[in-house]
Amino acid sequence: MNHLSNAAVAALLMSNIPRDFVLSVDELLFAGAKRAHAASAGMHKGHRPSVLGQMRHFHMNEDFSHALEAIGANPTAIRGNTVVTGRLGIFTLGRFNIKAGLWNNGRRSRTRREMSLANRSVEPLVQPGLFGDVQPITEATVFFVATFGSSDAPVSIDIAVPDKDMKGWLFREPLQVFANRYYVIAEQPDNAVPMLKEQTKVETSE
Amino acid sequence: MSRGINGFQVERLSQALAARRLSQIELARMVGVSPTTISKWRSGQQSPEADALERLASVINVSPEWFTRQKPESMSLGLCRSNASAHVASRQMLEARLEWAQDIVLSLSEFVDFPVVKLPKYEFDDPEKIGDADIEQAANACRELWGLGRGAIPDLALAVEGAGIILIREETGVAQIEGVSTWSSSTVLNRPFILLSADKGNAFRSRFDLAHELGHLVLHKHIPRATEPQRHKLMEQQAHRFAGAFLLPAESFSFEIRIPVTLDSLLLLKQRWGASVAAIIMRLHALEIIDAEEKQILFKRRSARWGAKAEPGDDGRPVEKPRLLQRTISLLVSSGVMSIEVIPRHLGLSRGDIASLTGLPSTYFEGPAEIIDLATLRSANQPQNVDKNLPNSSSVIPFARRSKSD
Repeated sequence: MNHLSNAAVAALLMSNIPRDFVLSVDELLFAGAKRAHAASAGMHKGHRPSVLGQMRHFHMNEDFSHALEAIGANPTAIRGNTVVTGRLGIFTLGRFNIKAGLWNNGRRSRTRREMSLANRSVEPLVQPGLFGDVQPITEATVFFVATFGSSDAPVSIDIAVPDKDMKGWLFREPLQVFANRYYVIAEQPDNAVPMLKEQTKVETSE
Repeated sequence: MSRGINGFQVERLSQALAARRLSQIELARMVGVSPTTISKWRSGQQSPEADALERLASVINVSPEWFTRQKPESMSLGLCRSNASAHVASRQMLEARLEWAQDIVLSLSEFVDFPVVKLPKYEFDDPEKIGDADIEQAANACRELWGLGRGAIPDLALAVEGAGIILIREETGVAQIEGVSTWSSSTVLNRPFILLSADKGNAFRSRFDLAHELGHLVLHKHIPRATEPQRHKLMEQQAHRFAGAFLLPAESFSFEIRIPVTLDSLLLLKQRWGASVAAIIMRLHALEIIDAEEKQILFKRRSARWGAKAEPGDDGRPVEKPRLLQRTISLLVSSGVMSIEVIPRHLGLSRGDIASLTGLPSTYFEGPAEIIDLATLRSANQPQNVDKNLPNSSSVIPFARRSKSD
């Protein structure tokens, strides 16, 4: 993934997802993780990691649902283990948690794999095909991925666009960095330029 | 004036004394006249004779004719980025250097148009009336006006010059004063000037100094020079707050902070945002992300790990240098308006002063170097007397081992 393709996918995300929602997801997922940790603290240490994992799923699912609702992204109903999703612009929004390190586990969910199929149309942004017209992108999927290490809070919360098979990532960036993309100017203008006066130009050309 | 050359400008003499940090007595000794004579020249009772003027110009390192040029309205230094010990002679020296820069800009503006001055306009006439919210708003307004977004500013010096501010960066020899800023009078150029000290050579500090001076220009344009220490301190704090808000905007910067704050995480932000760890800690406190106690702990740890002055990564970013004046001179030369040799004569100042004030390389006015054929030793040109029969490879001959009985 080069710098330009990265920028193209980021631009697509920014044109559909408001910065405020990104900040809201970051805040709420963080808070959800903290609550989950507190809720599992009294459990027997024999099954505490499993409880913590499940509590994280439930608490963070609830908080993600709140974030979607607040922005008007029509969250799906909270039900059992199912993934809460929402919709902003062309993007279907989902989330999952994963251990810090390689992100192989994201493919385990069939729903997430099915959601990722929509990114077939985003792939040409990263690797343009030799033949055929570029189709307009009308559907895409993005995940908010919280990675966990040994502490109670996420090590990082990333915004990530998988490829259609969910075997690679077309775009992946910590929310902290991504949120500042909304403010970054492409290139600093260079206006420190003196201009010859018209009269000077006339005199030198004579 | 009783005698001497016509048109001698006494204000130029005072300005030259200040720029060179010379006393009347020192100057008199160097020119070979009595201190009383210098005093009479300064008061206008007497003008130097032609030969004395030649010596005077040679000592000051300006053209004799420069002393007959009318001096534009003085540039009074409103405020200094300095501690309290900055003394009068240093301030006067910086004032004089800024006036020389103003002379250069005035002369060059006969031929070129400089970028239009673009600064947000505020009418604050009393520092007591400026609140923190005003300062944050002013910093954001400045960014918006300059099209800088809310991200890290890659090159602050470029942005400042692009907004029509004349930036000078030179070694001043005055460690106490990191920067000064002022406005050229509306009857002269009506343009802001900033002079930064290049003595410390630290890119991060220099950026903060520049943002600090920008704060004075934006917030304190209509506030006269502060004489009372309390008022001066308040204005300095306001310029500091502006610098922090301008370099590290609340909306974008604060989101990158993870709690609890550690020095190592701040080192990463230092390189990204171009602000020292110390400046970032102050900004975090201003934004109430950390309280006074946390701030103190971070400063304590900073001192314990790195000492009070230097920080790791201080050389991770090149010092931002001014470009506008050097571009102007290059433009005049490349477009045939003036040749390199004519520029010092036109400006009346020495080549060294012009190079220093405009940011040109110190050898710019020396012209291209002459290529000289070096003499070569005759023997070097002749083939070596080598026995061609000798083999090209060498062999290692073992020495006989010494026995203990030897």
